[in-house]
Amino acid sequence: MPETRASPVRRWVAFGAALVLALLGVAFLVWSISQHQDARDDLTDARAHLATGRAATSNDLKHLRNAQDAVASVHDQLAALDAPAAGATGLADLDQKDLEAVRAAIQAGLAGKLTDYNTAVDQRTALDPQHDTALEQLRQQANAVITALTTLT
Amino acid sequence: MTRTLPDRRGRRTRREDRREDRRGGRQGSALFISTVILLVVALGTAGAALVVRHDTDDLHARAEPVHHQVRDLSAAEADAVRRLRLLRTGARTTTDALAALFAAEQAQVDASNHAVDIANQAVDQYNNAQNTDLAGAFQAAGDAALADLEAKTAAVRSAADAARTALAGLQEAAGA
Repeated sequence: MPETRASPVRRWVAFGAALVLALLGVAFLVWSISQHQDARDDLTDARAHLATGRAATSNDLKHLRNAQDAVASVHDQLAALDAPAAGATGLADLDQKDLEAVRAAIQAGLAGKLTDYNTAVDQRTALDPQHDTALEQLRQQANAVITALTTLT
Repeated sequence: MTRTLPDRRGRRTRREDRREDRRGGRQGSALFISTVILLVVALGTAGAALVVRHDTDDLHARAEPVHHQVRDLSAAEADAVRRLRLLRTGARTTTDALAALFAAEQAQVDASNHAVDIANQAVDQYNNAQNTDLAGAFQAAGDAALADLEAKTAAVRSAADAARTALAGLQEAAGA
């Protein structure tokens, strides 16, 4: 008699365990499908980002190359403008010499020393062609540089 | 001697017992079949879930290089944008510095010519009127013209230095 009573109980327990296992299996499957869907969405998004990124990077690199080309096209002018003996510094040196000649001329003029005045004026006059040439060269180089760089800004 | 008949109630109980046994047997079979079905479902869903997970791992493995490429592209894009910004800033600074240099140079030339005018006037007056007291008449104007010329010459020097700095920055940005 105890065997016949225990048997249905064992069957119900087995049924319950199987039910729990089945429910767990279904839940596991649903969770796995959900993760699979997420992974697929992630891959799709990553591919879309990659395509967008390639286009954007290509554009940025193109702009950068254009800018570098623009600067490279005026490389000689930039070097001339930057040269210590000539260029901007050379012009400033000539202006300094001009200042010294003018100062000497004024001092001589105010002192009434005509010889010194004439010497100072001759010095300044001698500087003029050099100054004008340097300024004109600088202007041409600077204009070329400014024209090339305007496309960047 | 009298014979006793079997109890009718006892006969009915045995029949009911047999009926109950049959019912219990059917129920037990149904329970067994259900249990087996549920176990099959559990195993099937677990197997299917494992297959799905394997496929998910494949998807992750395929997505990883794409993510890596996206990161590389983002870094390259950021670098290009940074370098382009540097170049544009350098170009703007250089253009402004050169414009300032020429403005300073023009001011220096004007100041120099003005100072020479003052000196010429002083000498002319000396020549024409033999005025020996030129200092009194032209000292103030000469000093002012000279001070102005000195300031303008110094401004040219500063503008030239600024232009050279801007040019160096631009060339560095272009080469970076």
